[in-house]
Amino acid sequence: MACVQPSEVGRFAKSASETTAEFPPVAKDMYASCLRFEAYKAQRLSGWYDNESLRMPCASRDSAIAGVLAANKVLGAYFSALAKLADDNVVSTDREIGGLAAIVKKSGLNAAQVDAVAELTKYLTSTLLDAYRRGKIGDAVASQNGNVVLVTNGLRDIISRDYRQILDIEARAANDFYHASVNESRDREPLAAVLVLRDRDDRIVELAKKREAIAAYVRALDAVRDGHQKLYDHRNDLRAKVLSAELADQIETLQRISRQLERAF
Amino acid sequence: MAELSAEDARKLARSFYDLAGKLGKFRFDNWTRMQDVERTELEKIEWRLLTQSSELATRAIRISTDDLDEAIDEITRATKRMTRELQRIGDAKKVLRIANKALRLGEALLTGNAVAIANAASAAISAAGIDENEK
Repeated sequence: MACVQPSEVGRFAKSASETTAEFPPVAKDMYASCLRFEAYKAQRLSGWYDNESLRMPCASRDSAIAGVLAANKVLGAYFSALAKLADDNVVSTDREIGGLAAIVKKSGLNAAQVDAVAELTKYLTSTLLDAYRRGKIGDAVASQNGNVVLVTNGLRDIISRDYRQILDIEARAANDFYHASVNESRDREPLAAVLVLRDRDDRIVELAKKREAIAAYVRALDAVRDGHQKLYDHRNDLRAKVLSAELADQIETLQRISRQLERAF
Repeated sequence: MAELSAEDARKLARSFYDLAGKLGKFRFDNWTRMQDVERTELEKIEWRLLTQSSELATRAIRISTDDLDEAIDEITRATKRMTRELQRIGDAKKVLRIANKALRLGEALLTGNAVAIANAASAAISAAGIDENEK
């Protein structure tokens, strides 16, 4: 009977873990977006700014992003552990993981999603983890599938909606800033206006790349969730050949997105 | 105190973003027809509405009410009315009047005070005039 190599499950889990590791620069740019917005605003309203004055209004954004990064890190650690279990390696969990659940509360995830992160954290720091070796990996997948679905969907909502909105706000701020600046100086300095518009075009291209990175990570989260769901569906026969074919698509998607994010940031 | 759901916060964030967009469009479309002081005031309000939109997108908002849905309905009704009215009018003074009401509504929303929200929503609706659909 044809069967999946044990490492196929491990390959999927490893790809999922590696892709989540590419997310921090994307998230951190959402904080940088707040600083850029504040800089545009300060230039128009007062004509000057310093770093401290930009950081203060962005403090709540900073906390929210730290929460999202914590949730993402727990998700990545879970898949890293799954990859090691699939290949029958000893799992060692980063000590930092235990403290992340508290930070997640400020992420914007809802209560059920925050609880799911806490459950994943509990699982990762549990002494039971090492008992789930390859023979029982199906049990591990079964016990955590609901949590993986909740966390990936929660992250997906924040990234696909809130982060897009953040970039929309920055785009509007940039357009307003450049449009007003050009209107005010075009008659006196027409050549400067041309250069300013060129600068505006560069900013808009950068923002478009960031939107693409966000869309790519949303697709990655879908692939992570769907791949885990396939493991769950086949939890009693993780060596089935049909699972291999189904996971191959998710692995390919995750590896492609991982490379794309690596290039983008 | 009831906490605004993420979904409602996102919708309201979009409403304030749209209002800022309408003000910007008016300002640029009427750039030479407006006085400097009007342009400056309108621009200040736009930046503050965009800031409010940004805060709604990333900050948990708690409102002191048992009927959160009613508070959200009031805000939504007011923002829709103002957005529609801003598309229609061509008078800078009236635009500024509505813009100021929008700003007050956003400020009330961010404080989470239900009475202040209801008052600000009502004032915004009055400033935007009678809705044609409600005649």
